Amino acid sequence: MPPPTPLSPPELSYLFTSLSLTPPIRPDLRSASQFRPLIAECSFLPHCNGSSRICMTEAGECIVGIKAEVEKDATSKYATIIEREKWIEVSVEVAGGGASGPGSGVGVGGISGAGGASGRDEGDGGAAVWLKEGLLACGGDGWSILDRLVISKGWHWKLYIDVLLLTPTSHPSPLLLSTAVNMALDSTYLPKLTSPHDVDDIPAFSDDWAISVPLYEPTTFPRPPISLPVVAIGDNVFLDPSVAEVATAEVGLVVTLALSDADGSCDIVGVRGMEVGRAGGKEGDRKGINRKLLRKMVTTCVNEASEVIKTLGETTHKQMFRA
Amino acid sequence: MPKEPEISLTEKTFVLEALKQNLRVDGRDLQSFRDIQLTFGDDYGFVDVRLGKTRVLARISAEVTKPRPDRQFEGMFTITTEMGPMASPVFEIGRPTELDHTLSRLLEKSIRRSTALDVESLCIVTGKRVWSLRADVHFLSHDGNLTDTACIAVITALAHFRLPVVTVSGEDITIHSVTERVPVPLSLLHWPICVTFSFFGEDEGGDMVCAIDATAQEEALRMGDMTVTVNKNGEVCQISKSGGVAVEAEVLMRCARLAAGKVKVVDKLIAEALREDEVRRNKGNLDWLKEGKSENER
Amino acid sequence: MEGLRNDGRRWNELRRIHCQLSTSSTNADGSSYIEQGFTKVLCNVTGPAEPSNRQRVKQDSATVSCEVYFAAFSGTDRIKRGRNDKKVQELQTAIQKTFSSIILTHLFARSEITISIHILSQDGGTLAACINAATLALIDAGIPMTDYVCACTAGQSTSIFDNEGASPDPWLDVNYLEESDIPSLTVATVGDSEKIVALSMENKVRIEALEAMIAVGISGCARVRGIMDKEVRRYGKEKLEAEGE
Repeated sequence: MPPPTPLSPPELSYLFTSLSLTPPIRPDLRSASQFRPLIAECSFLPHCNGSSRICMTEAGECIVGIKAEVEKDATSKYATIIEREKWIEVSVEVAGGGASGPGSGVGVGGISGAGGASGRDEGDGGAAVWLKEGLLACGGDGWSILDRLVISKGWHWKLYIDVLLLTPTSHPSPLLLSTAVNMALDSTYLPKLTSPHDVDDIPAFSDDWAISVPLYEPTTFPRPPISLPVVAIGDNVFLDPSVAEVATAEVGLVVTLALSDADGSCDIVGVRGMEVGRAGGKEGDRKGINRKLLRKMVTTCVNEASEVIKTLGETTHKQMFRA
Repeated sequence: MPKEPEISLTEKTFVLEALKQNLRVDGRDLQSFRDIQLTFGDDYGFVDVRLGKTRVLARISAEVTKPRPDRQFEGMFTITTEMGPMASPVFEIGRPTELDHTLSRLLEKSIRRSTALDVESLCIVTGKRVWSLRADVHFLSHDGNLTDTACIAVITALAHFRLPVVTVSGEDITIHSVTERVPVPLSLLHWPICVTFSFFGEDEGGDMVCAIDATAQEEALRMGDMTVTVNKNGEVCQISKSGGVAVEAEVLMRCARLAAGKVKVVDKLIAEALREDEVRRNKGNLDWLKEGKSENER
Repeated sequence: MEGLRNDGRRWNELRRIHCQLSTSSTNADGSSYIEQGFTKVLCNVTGPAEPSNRQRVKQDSATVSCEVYFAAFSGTDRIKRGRNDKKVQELQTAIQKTFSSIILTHLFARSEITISIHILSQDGGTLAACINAATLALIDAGIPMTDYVCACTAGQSTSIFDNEGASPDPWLDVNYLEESDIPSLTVATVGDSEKIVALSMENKVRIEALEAMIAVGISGCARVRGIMDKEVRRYGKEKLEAEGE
């Protein structure tokens, strides 16, 4: 289901025409690859290992709290990958900004294969799965976030990522969620282990937060992933589409990327389709994505992502170390 | 959902005016309870409380279960309340009203949180077997002040209840029936009793008009309420006033002190009723005991 | 160090209060954020709007409804609280009843005002922070009320009485550690009238000690009101100046 819009057919038609011009005219006069402004805060919750709050004008507000709890490894001698994947638990709670109330949550951003899930139950489909997938896929070269969660022999951190969405629509932007989770992960610190690594006793930790260990080292790569929504109308490609633009678009993608080295080049971690309105097309006129267009969409994301990730990272560290 | 019938304007003005002159429709003064009648059933822990036309039934039952893993030394005690259409057509089964929530939380805070019942005394074998006590509160008729009535009912039922004697030998436990061994009363540390005040706005002199034990009619007309739970030792176990008309702290303190006085009277009344019931029971029991003795001699 | 509490405050000191209006850019009509020490609460208000539920329609006044959400990460341990959690329900009822009597509901017949509160971090005095946040959000939404509702907590520092029978100074604005250790109460007053609109206490306390606790709580409410009023005026001025340009 594409996101419902309050727009009338003439409005949609007008939008479609202005967005298919060369150069296109976006309703808010942004350039095709320009993002909307957002307010970002992090590390403001004392009970969490990492936290963030992102506020966007149209998409609403997103608060993420990350908590790490010490857990014993599963009984089997060698933890299988399926067991290890349970070390991270993502849950997304959608609470309407107003009268709509919770439980009315729909698949975030209308991501294909993620639609229709309320995200209220742990580990169900929808946004929670999509966010976790991005996290786990991020890495390469034998590096995985799960390795960072190992404490000592037989013990690991269980990471709870709780996402609280305060949004007026049932289709919040994937950008909102992913930036919030990105920032929260970037500001996550775990207490330093003081007991030896190779002993399977209950691990002991230092009380001193000044020597705590970051989950993602700020200077090494990969960094936490980020997902950028991108839509295409005709040959024009738009980053960070607004609700009206999604309703008009012909093709939509969510591209998940992670910074892979200091030069700012990005790895593509995942690409998913995004439900769009296809206001320009006729009923039942479902065309696939043109190869050239797909390439253009992904390239635009890759080109723009490094700057977004860097800016977010800088904001995070500025806020983390301002004291 | 059926709605409560609205009170006519004339009736409303009449009742409120009367209250401001310290008069009530049923002839009581503002600071007195209706007649409290306690009737005990044949079983231990079965009490029927009547407060005017309000009638509440409480029943205690016990079973042996495993304790919660984080509370190995403690037995369990739950209070369940359910309001059905029997009390008033406004209530529907399976659809708890706001009153339902407030009432069950109030009982929870008044009786459970104030540790009226020593849950550690319900432990049989640490970490293995404990008593799980359950108080079921049934509302038979609703004419206002369900909270206070329910609280009196639960406390009286707990004081009346007798727990079967249990003997432990190693891993095995034996529960002796009532006929084998005389069951023992629960260890109640104190008797918390709720007193609900209803506020009806200020009179000519600027004093807040407040009355205890409001009837259903008065409850529909009141501008705010407050429930104070006190025991006879003058310890306040719980106070809750949420919303309603704003009241001076001095008035609230006066209410709390008044409640402390009222509770002493109610406490005495419950104790008296329990004693009378005990006497009544023992009369029958003594005959039965005699029979038992003669059997043993044989 | 004598006479100081575990966080270094004196008996009558409040924790740092930081409050903000219009924090959310969503379509909520009013929003606020308040920090009282490490207790952090976010509040959105929508309305007066058409009631979402037909049964809630009142012919002569507006319906005030309240939704409280505990974030799973708000406490020391990760706990998910469902919609039917008794503590959540109680908070909702308390806040809803408190504001029903303060908002001029008769001006908005057949409509609904929704207060939704998100508790992000708990460190004692949750109810008080919720009430304060709701007051600010309602002001931001421009909903007419008789006055501010300000809430504060007070705790009984010790149950030992000195020789004259006078109780020792109660502690103002208890934090989580104190709240779990000593009996405490939450009191909410209307404006600067010192009249109590909500009062809640869940622990056992001698009736003699109650008066002092309430008195200290009321004095705390007055100070909370001062801080909130200052922020409302600052925000109002800033907004007016921005519009004047």
